Amino acid sequence: MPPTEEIKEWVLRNFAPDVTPADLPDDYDLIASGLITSLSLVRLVSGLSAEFGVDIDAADLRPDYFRSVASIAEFLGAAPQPQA
Amino acid sequence: MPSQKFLARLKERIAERPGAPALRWRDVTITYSDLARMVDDATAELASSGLQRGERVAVSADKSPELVVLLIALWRAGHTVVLPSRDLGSAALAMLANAAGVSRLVTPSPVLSEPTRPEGVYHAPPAGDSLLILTTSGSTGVPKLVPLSPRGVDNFFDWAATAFDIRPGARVLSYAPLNFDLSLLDVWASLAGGATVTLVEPQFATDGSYLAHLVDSHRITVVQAVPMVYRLLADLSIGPVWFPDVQHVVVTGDSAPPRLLPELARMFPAARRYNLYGCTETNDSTMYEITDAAERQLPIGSPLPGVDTRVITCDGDLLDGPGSGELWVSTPFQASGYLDPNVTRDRFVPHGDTVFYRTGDVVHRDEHGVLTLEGRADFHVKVRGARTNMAEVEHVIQRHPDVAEVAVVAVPDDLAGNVLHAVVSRREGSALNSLKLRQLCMEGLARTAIPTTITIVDEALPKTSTGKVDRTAVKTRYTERI
Repeated sequence: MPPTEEIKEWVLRNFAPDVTPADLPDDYDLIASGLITSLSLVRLVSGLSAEFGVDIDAADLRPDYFRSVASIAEFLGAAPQPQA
Repeated sequence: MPSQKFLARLKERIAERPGAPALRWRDVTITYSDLARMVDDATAELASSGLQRGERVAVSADKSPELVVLLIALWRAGHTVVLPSRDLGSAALAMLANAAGVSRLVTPSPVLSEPTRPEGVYHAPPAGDSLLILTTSGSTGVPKLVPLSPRGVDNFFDWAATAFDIRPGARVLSYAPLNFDLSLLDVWASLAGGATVTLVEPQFATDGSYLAHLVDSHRITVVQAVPMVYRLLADLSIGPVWFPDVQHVVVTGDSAPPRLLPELARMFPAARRYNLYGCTETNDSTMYEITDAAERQLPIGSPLPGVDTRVITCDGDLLDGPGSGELWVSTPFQASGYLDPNVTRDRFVPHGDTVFYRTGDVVHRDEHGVLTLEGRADFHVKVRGARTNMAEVEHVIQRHPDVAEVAVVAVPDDLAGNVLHAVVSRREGSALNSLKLRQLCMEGLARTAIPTTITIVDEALPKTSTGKVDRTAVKTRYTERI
């Protein structure tokens, strides 16, 4: 499972480059705040998948899993590692 | 009323009541016979100023009786007059004169004319039988030229005289500058109707006590002005004032702030009060009579007699019944187009035998057909299927105390229809970031209205020549790299 800080940095780099990781609380609602939209969710998920080397099933594209940095960390921790 | 009929009516007024006051200016009263004499003098001066009969001219001067007289003299000699805004610098004025095909600039008192270009052939787009060309500000910064139709102004005169009792004995305040369409009512309809016009001195136009004194001592019966004027009267430091002689109060040109409405009722206890909506291209189009003193957003009301309206949804459909969309109007007063036919095609749309003008304003129409302004059409876009007012998004972001300026722009997107981008210039030394603004958006906006990107910058946003944020430049500078 990637550390929360790395996820945070990656999300900010891609979606809010003006914000420093210290300013983004773990539980900040990325979806309600419009940082992640239903259309950019796909970009978020494929980006996370490539960055952190996890396989994400299309069936798992539920917004709730990606609502905050904390929930992403939890989800990625649970996602299966790709076969070597 | 710059038309042959106006000149004929004015002649009748002069013959009927030569001693009646026509214009009041400072301490001077100019009667209808004085006016006739002054116009004759100006006509003689014009003849010796080297002007060719019928030549198209521009007049850029502050309001004064001499300016009123000069315009009448020019129309009588068959000149089409362009009245540009007084705010234009000499370079902008030269550009405008060129676009308007103007050969000479004429000044009143003393009457002088000077050529606007050295010599040679120039392109003068035909203006038909128009005697007066007004300009509109235009959000793009380039003024558009509107040749008024003489038939349109005659129709307008008939309506205005009836609606506001403009006849001998009426006393009308002329607040707006003469290059504003409002002067068609204040000055020209009044003179054609034999009323008395009190000219506000431009240099004191924002002095509330001067205005109050004028309305009171000249026993004004008709006031037409932008909301700011009523605000000036309501905020007088000498305490509450009221004007019992005023019979008609017309609020126009801008949305009236709700807090002003109880004060209008208080200041003008004997007057009928109206919210009047129109634009230079069509003149007045809809009107709402205010019958209460409640603080609320005023409707712009219902179409005036002979005015046809259409409400077109953002999908381009004709709205039947209640709902929102862009307002198209066709009025008996309207111009037949702009001087530049290419610009005309964008805004004047033939529909059967009727030509509609696309106002660019979004209105809501209720079940009784009463219209209320919602904003400018260019500020409404569809984001993921939801109709979104970008002005509202800007408004929400602007609430943050660290926001100096904000511009929200829409960039077309294959998937979303449009993607919104906000560019925010933050106050010096502030630590504002996009997350804080997203918090505000979350609380104040629908999800689809929250901008996809919020870019924070420390420099001022690009501006148009009129000082407004230039959204096109914002789009080019900040969003093309996204």
